[in-house]
Amino acid sequence: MDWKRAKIILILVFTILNIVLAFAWYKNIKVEQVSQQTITNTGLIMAKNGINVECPIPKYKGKDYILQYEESPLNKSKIADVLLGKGYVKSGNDTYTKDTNKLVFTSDSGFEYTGTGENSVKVYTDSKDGINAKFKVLASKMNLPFDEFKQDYYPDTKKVNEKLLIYKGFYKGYEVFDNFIEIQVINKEICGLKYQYKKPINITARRDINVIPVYQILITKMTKYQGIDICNVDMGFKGYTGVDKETKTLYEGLSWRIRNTDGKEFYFNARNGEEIK
Amino acid sequence: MKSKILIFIIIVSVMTALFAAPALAASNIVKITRPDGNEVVEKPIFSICGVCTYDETFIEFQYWDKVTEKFQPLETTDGDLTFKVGSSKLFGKNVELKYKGENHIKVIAYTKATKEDPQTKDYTITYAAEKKSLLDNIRNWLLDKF
Amino acid sequence: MIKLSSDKVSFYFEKLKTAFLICLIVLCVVQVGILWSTQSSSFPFLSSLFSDSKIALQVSVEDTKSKYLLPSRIVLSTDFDGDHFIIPNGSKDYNSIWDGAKLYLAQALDIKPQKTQLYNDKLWGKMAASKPYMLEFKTSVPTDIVKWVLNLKPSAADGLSSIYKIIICPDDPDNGYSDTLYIRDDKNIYTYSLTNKINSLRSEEFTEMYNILKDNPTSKNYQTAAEKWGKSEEINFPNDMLGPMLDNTEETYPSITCSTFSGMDETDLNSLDYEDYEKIASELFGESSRDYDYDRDINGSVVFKRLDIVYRLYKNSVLEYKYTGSQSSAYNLRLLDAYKKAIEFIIDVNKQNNFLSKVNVYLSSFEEKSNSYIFKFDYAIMVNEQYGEVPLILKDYSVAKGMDNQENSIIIEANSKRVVHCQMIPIKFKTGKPLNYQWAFQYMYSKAFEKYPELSNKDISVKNFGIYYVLTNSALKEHIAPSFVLYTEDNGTYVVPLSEK
Repeated sequence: MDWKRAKIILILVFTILNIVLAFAWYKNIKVEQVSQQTITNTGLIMAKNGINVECPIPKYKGKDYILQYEESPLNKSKIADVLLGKGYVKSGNDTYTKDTNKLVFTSDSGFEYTGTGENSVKVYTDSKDGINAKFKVLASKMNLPFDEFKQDYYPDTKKVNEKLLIYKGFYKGYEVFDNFIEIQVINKEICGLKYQYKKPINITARRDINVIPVYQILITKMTKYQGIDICNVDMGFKGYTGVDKETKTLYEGLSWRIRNTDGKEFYFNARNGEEIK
Repeated sequence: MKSKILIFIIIVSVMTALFAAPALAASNIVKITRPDGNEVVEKPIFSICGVCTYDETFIEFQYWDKVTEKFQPLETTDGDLTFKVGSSKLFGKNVELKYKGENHIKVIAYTKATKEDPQTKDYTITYAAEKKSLLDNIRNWLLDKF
Repeated sequence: MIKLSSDKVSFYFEKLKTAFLICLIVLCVVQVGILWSTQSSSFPFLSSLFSDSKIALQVSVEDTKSKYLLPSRIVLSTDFDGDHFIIPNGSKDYNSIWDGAKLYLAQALDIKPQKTQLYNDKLWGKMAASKPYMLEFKTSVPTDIVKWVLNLKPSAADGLSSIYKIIICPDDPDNGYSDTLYIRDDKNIYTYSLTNKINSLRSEEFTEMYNILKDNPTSKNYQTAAEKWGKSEEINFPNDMLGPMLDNTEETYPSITCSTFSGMDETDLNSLDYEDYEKIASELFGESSRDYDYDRDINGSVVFKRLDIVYRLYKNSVLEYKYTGSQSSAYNLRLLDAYKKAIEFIIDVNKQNNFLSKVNVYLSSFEEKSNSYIFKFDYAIMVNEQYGEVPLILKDYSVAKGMDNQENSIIIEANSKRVVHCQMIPIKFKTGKPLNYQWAFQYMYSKAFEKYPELSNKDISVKNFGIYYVLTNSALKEHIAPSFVLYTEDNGTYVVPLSEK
């Protein structure tokens, strides 16, 4: 056996194979991105229609992904203890009240709190970091997985004593829009709290289905909202909520979120471009 | 006096009703819906249908045999001489008419209780041959000839 | 020395080449592995080609609306005590009689009736038995719907509110030898005398069809209840009720197997994963399956969500559609508009999957609610041109805890704008081996009394009877065979399976 010649031939063959594979890989990634020219053109078209896009437009047009959720039941009594304190009364099927404070469980995975007065919700600070730290403590007392959330944005409430903090869920590098926390702080007290959380379990790629790149959605769907300024465009998981009966396991695909400077969010299903309300 | 006569009349009418009822019942075991009186038909197969009053009725058919000059049992087309009608109270059987022209058919119906005193109904079914048109008759005669 | 070092150099060179080769092989394997995991069987450029393909065919409701207004039965008769042939649904004769009837109807619905009289069962029974053609719908169909399907111009109501049964008699000797139509709705009998002669359904055509039917040993030659028990006052059968009344007849029906979605067993539902949902979604929605988010609800039903639309597939193979969007009530509720929406919905179902490919859909009833109409349809399973169809009914078909049993194959609630709710049975029916059965009305009727003793206890009034395939929950796993079904006026349903010969 002439090993020397064989080896030379094999090296040649595998080098070519590597180049071909690298090329395919590169193409794979390249296909998943929109060209810069398209992005620039989109900005111009939007401006012509009276919409100001102040943020970078994502170029992603690759695969759709599926996020699988699981129900994560809330410990209602613990949450009521923390937010309302001792001596609360169950005034409805899912409503707990104490004086003027009200805690309503909107579903098995979410609740809304309004009120003032209880010590635990006094945060004694106006700064975002301070509120963040204080809420982290509260959350651990209520067994809420605060570490699966990240700060999203801070709408300008235009009131001096009022601060509004919005957190969105976060999992494996993707935003999970259906998980959210909204904290409203007035006069250094938490006066309003909205919470919704379903536990993400895994993310899988969806075969053969690519998302619609967001520039197409901007051009076709957003031009009807004239005169707005878009300050944020990003991608995450959001599904169709508001179905009548309780669900157990959930699968959601990717969606695009477009937010304007007033804080209004528009969500679009990334597979078919439908607006998700 | 008057009251005595009244009581007597009441007793008599009650007794009559009690004894007459079974006798009347003998004539109400079955109501025949076909034949509807005496019928004239064009086909040899004829349906005898009816509705019974009680939950279990036995029915037989007879025809007047011109040879023996007696009523003979008439078999239904599915081979029954006597058949039973159950709680549905509904029946219908086909019989084959024996003769062209007049057929005298007797329907006999009884329950277990009235076996000895059945209800009978008589009908005359005239089997008229199918009316053929003149043209058909000529055609048939010609076809037979050649 | 030089020779030695060149040997050593070449020796190391060879070692280097081997190592390099191994590196390359490893690199190849790694790249293939990465590419394999990030993509499916198709190449990247191919997937972008298919990603935006939507349903190309646009079958409009105007093309297929006639499929959903078909007579449930057509009867060809010679005379009272004569022959009454049931024309198999879907056969050539069926289509030509219905096409001819549509011409007669078109003329009749344009003129005023010659005579209107209250419905008289004896009179109708006599006409049904003695006049050549009778066509029946499963329910009284409002004239608005009939006119829309037959493309007739809508005109003001002239008393005829709906059409239940039609008797057609060209050259009617009872009506001065004019071409006469007798139409029956819920209340009256309307007699129409037509002036323009129509070249269909005339005596040559009738005789041709009759001769073929008479020579065919498998044709269904029935009798009317009026001809046998019309004189009875105790038992009140509808005078035009048709069947093999007295003698057993031999009829052939195929056995039917039902197939539904895989994994719909109770035990399997808890272990459905994403791929199973995808499979069910693509069976149900075809190309549009990717538009839905998948769920499972607390009762174990599979849920498909979309903006404003929720589909729920219950364990017993009942598919529910709900419109969850906002609804304004600021529009008029019109029956014809709601019916159009219901038919469009059924057509859409047909486009997305093939559950209704072997099945014809007949309107069985409808009712008006405060904001909508509810239309109830039933299936008839197509056998072949010779045997026609066998209708299907549901009995004791439970859906889920807390919900009513499913009474009809498709139930649609619609208003003038859209369908708001639908419950249907998406089951595929497969016709199997044809089997021979023997039955007669009087014997099955008697068997019904034996099986259901309560029939003899009350004053029953028979509404109708027929041969149906009866679908129950358990039948999904077995074969279904034809049964004799007796309907009574108090909405009772009595089922007696036919016995094989």
